[in-house]
Amino acid sequence: MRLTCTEAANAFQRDWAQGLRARLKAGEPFAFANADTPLEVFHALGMPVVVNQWWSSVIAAKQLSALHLDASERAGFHARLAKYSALPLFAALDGRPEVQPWGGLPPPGLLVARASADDHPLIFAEWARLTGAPLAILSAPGHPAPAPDWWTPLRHDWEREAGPDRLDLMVSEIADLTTLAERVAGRRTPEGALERLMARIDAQERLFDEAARIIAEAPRLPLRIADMIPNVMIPQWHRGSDWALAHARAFRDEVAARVRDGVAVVPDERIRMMWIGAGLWFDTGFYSAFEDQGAVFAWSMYLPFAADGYLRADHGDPMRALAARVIDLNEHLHQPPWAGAWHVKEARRHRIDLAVIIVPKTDRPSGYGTRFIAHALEQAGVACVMVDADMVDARAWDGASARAAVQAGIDRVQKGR
Amino acid sequence: MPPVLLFGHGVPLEAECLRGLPLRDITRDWHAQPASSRIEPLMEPFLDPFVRSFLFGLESGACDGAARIIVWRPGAGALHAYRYAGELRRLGLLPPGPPVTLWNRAASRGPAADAFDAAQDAALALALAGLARGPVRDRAGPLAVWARWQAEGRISGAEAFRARLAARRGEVPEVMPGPPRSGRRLALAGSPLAGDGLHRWLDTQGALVLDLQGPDASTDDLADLMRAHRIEHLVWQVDPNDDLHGWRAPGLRRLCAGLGVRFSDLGFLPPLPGPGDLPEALPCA
Repeated sequence: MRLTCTEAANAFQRDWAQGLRARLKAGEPFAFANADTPLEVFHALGMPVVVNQWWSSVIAAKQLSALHLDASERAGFHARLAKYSALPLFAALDGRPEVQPWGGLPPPGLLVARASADDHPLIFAEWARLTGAPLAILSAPGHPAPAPDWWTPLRHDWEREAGPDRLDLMVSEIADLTTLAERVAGRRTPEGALERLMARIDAQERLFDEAARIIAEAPRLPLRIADMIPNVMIPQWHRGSDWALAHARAFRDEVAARVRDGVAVVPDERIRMMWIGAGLWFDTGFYSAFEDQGAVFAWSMYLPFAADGYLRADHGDPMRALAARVIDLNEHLHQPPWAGAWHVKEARRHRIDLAVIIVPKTDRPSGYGTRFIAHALEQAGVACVMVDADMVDARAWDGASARAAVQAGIDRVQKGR
Repeated sequence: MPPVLLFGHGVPLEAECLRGLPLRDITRDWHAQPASSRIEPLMEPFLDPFVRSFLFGLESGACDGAARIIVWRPGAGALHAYRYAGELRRLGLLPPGPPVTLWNRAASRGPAADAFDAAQDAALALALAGLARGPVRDRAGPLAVWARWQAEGRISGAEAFRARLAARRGEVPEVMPGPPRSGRRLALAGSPLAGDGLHRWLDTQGALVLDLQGPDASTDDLADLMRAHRIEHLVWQVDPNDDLHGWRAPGLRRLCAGLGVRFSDLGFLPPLPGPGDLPEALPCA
């Protein structure tokens, strides 16, 4: 039932992780970066980069989050601080190799975060204090007049949509980050590398755009979101590489073949659901828990966002296009009016009956805006269920209650027919 | 003259583009939920308390009559205040009111950051161009005097806090020093507070001579400040939904230990703490 591509993506990631681990062990400097930063800078330079939220999901998937979160509280960090973006820091503060993936990360060569959440600069300041690594905090000035339908103008007319002043600032900060990364790596970015990388990323995201369209238009869901996520996110972490581009193509083709062959996750599909928010990394089985009733999770943000969040025509200036990609990257997913409008657009395209929204109250940047998203969806005729949960804190997960809440939502939808 | 309202912790009232305007910092003004709020269902229970209060203020008409509201982006939660206010108005759930302007700042330093900040100031000045400007009121002078009197224990922590808040609202508070207080020399830190309930209680526990959570708190080196104020005991608290100030707690605890200063964590306190939120006596652990 799983896609061939899924195994290929997981195998690539395993090999890549082993290779990265060996490079880090050999003392090669690496960047430790938040997911909403311009990772392209490091890819173009060929500098290893570990993404904070990816590493957090690895720790959680290895069932180590409770241990480190408990320890953080004993160390004086109170229990209501963010976890998804802080779990790697807590693991590093613990320091014991036996309770960390790979025995723990060595100190990074540099740290980079964007001030897109009030707490991120503070979390990264703790990292810098702990490791002595240079820290770059990128600005996140707010858009003064956000239009709901951001995804269309941003693909091409991003200069006007994002605003020249904010773009000038972001371009300068990306240039400074590049200089810092080159100093730490001890080499220069090859001439034209960013331009070539951005062109390949553009091609990659167009393939994902096509795959998302095929899935949306399919009469029944052809693959689970647990299959979609690794096939998108692993190439996204390596976006613009030859492997990522080839994998995106293979994924698009395999999805298209499934639809052509009439493959369906649930032949008797009756309810289509969307999962709104980051993944539930410690209980991904939740996503298939309602299939015996004909209810499928047909949507998660990762695949469609690869197109809407990343496609930016370069107009001959790849660094400015990169700035246009990054400048509101995470904000589009969470802040009104952007997030509500985008989820409504996606719900309609995917014929969604029920939206399940994860509300992480101790990760406020992700928890904020969730009621506006629900309001927008309900106005559009999509029923909503809110689930209190944290993406990586299994201690706070009440699976039985969450299942009951989704079940009640399914019952409501069925009753309304 | 209709006032210009400012929202956002740390908003710089002395900025050139604001000179001479009738300014009122409303960041810590407290507005309870109206009896039948239309906007409350769209506000997450963990929303920053000052953002929540600001939005309730908009709903109840507390900001009506202002010439403009300026939201200072670097203030904690301020961008969400701006986003939520804009969206609630767009949805027709908030009544139309004064225009709201977002005032951004770069997080980095350098020529590009300077140029960005200058462009932001110029845009703000343009938005405020039609408003009458008067003489500039001196705030720095009284602030320095109150800080000295508080450090000497000649005004209470609560008096000093109230005076600073009033000065940010454009008022001219009358503060009279008394004889120096005795008792443990206390400092207060953590989440911003909206009311003086904790201050009044601390004034009974010793002499609150340094307020690090208050508006216009010194940004000097913390160790230097504690030494200069001969702090014996630092009192820490955070908002029940804090996700920001708590990051500083372990470091501050270490600093206190290094300086021989007692550190007391009162835990989670609401922005308007009342007697029921406070212990009987200051824990000495």
